[in-house]
Amino acid sequence: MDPITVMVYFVAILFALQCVTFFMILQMRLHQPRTFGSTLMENKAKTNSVLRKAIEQANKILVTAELKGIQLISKQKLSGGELTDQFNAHLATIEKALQDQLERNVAHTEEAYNSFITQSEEMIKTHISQNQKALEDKAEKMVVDTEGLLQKFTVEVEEKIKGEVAGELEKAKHEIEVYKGERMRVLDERIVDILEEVVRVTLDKKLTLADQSDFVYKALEQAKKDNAFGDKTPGAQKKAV
Amino acid sequence: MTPFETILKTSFVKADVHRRIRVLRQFLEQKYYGRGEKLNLKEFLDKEKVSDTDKTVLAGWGPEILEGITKENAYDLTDAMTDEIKELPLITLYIPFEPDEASIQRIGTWFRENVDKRTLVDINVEASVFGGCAFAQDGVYHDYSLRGLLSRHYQEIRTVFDQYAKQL
Repeated sequence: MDPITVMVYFVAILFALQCVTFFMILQMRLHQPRTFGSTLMENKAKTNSVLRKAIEQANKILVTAELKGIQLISKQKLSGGELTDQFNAHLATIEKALQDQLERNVAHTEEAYNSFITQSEEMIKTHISQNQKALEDKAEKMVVDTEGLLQKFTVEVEEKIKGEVAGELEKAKHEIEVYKGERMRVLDERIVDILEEVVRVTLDKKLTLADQSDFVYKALEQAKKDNAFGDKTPGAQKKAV
Repeated sequence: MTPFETILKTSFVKADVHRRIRVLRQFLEQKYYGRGEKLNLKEFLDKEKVSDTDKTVLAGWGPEILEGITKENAYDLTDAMTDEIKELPLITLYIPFEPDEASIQRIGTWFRENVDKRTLVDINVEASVFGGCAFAQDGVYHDYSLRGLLSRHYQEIRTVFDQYAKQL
């Protein structure tokens, strides 16, 4: 049984029960002071009547509700099947349209993607080529500039080194001359010392006191000869004491 | 001959003259002002322990050295002698050996004969004046040693060395 039908039945029964209950309560209140026996019978008859009427009414309602439910279900079944068919047809149409659209979109996307890839490749190639060209140009320029700078630097360094070497050479020559002169001066000064030392070493142990005394007198005689004891003594070495 | 001339005749070195005048003064002091026994010159020299050379020289002066010296003029006379030393020509001599008394007398005599008869000598031993001597007179130094000789002939020596060096 259809749920809607069940619900109609249930409502109808519920309505009938309420009516019966309402009627019984009303009778009890109206006929409370009467005698229990007659009242009971009367009420029983009325109740049966009411119940019969209620059952009849309920049956009518039930039948009516059943009929209406059947009608409604029939209508609903009829419209649901149509709707399903329409929906299925529409759905199929939409599905077909969507599939077609999707296929077109896929094709278009693929085409656009391929085109994009191709263009991108070409652009990348172009960029790479341009960059390579620019890089080569810059590198060549850099090499040329660097070569020029290096040549200039080399020339400058060479000139500077030449100047410094010439200066150092001149300085070294000057120092050598100074050293030579100094050594000559020292040697000149040392000549007398060396000769004296040689003579001293040679003669010192051989000379007796008498020999040395003789040298003293000879020296004094020479001084006298040189007029060393006068005020002026030409040829004599003099220095202030 | 005065006492000073007598001293000078036998003394050639300035230090000897000063020392011998001092000994004479001490002798005169003990003779004229000393207490106790008066010693003669020989006895005094023995007592004072002067050197043998000084003994010989002072004894050689003889009694004539004391002629004219009295108690009154003894100090004045010795002071005058000391002052007179400063007026004598002085030569400072540098020799390379320690001279004995004979050498000193010989050197002194040489100066008296060849420079001035009153010359005094101040002798100093200086090894660097090897092969001769050097002397200073009136503030001027004269080098007659081997070094001085070589220095005076420095140019000739250098010429010889240069010629020798060129031959090498």
